[in-house]
Amino acid sequence: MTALLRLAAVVARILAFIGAAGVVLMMVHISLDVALRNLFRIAIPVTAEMVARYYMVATAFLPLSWLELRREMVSVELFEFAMTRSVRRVSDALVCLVSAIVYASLAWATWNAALSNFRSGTYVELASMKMPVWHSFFLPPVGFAIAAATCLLLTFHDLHPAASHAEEAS
Amino acid sequence: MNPEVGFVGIGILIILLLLRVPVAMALIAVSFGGITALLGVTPAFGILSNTPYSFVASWTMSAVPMFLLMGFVAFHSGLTGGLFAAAKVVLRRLPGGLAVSSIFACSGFAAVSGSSLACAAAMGRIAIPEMVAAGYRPSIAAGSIAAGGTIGALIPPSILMIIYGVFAETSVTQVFIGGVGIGVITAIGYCLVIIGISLFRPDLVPARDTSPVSEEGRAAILQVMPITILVLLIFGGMFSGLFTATEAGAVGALGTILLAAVTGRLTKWNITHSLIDTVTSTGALFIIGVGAAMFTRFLGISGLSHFLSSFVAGADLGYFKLMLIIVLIYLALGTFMEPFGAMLTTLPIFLPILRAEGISLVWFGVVVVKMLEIGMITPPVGMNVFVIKNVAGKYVSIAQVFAGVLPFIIMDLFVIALVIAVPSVVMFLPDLLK
Repeated sequence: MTALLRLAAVVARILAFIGAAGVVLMMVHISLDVALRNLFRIAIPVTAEMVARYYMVATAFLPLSWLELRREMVSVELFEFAMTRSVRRVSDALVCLVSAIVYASLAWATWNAALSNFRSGTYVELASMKMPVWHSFFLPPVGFAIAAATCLLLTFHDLHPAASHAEEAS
Repeated sequence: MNPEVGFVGIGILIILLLLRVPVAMALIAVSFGGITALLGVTPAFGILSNTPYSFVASWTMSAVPMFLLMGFVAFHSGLTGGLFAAAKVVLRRLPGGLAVSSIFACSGFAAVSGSSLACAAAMGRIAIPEMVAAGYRPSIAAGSIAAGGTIGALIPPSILMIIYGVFAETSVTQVFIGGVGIGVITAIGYCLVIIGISLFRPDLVPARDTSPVSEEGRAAILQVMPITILVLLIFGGMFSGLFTATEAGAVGALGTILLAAVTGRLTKWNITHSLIDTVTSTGALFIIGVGAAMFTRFLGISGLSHFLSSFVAGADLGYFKLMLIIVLIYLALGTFMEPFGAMLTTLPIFLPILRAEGISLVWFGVVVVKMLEIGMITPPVGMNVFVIKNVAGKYVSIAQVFAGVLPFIIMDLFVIALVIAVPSVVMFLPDLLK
């Protein structure tokens, strides 16, 4: 279990790193576009589409498993103070299970959308060219699927922390 | 059309949230279940497969990670570290001068950062120890910064306002300009609170500082000069049309990184942590956005949005009663909900009503962000208060911070009343620059 969780952590880190690269590329690409437009009246025609369809999608969905591992998802903690440790653990496990189911459904649904975009070879019509964008539809299902697997592992981990620790110790 | 399903959906959503299900997961699950109940599983599946991509693949929304990055880089590299010292040079002779300076420093930080948590954390770390050492009652010192931090989300850039603008399909730049108005009014209000306290309760606040300006103060002014000029250039460029609000985020982030590099403050640690914070916040926010977009579709399909707007129109509540109800709902939600969750779960319900009533959505965006920010300092869940406890825990208890913010919350309610009674105090700038 712990070994699987560790593997999930490695995958999650790589995906989060790609998400961070998306942020940096977005910044450089937009700034370059603004500079060229204002200084030399040169337009980069693909900026808006690249930013929206690749950098944004990668930044938003790829780091989800990493967020789950760091337990950074936003939730309402109104009754947290009233929970004992064991109640809290069961509650954590159930919450992770719900998240795993939702992520798995999202992964399945967006995977189908990605396949249909792949088959139709979805592209955007720009002034001077056709820009294929079907690749970008595969980013959400990747992010959701890994997040679903991570949440499932966390569910087991929350329910059997002792087993995980014992394994870790051995 | 079946508004009952919509009501049941809202009920289940509230239950899931109270059971600690993350806001995003609860929104997505309820919307999927609700649309399945109304139209069947195939249309629900269709919405589930399209919404994540279509919500996130948005050019306007790219301002969110960019402005987040700008704020985090400025914070981690210490470019804003001299703000408090610089404000003190000018303002320390006022009654409650140090606290007034801290409000000004928060306002300055707000022009770099789009979040109130970052603002409260950054200023709390610097200003609270100094105020306590100077003789301020710790609750007043901590309360000033917890409240002052909320200005971070009012003065542009503001992440809440960008997301509001996208959801309400209104101009982000216009909401930003409105944010300048509410930010300045709030800052003035908070300064009046501090001056009032120091006049009527001199036991809580030390006597006025009459010492001459120190060398340190002069150095601080020089230290914040570069970031001040950068912010002026970015907002000047944005409001003059050289680049859009979306592009301003990227230009601002790059400018801040370059400035940090030139001033020798850019380290591997700074840039790594800025990126980690940006990716974390962006991911957590956007998945809630996806959920809220699905929830909007669900409420639309159920006919609840239409039902509520015709109900409000039929009840003939009038502007003041309607706004009173909305304010009370946000104040109640703000006591336990985090602002993005509270905003995105309620906008699908309120926006159709406001559109039907002909209320300006730019104005409402400013008001809604202000109301959500009050929620950041009200008990039991006041995120800014927790942050203050985190960075200045050895000076104050949670209860003391909540006691300290009380006069500021009262001022906030006055500001809200003012903005509702006289909408032009917020709208004159956006109207002028339209």
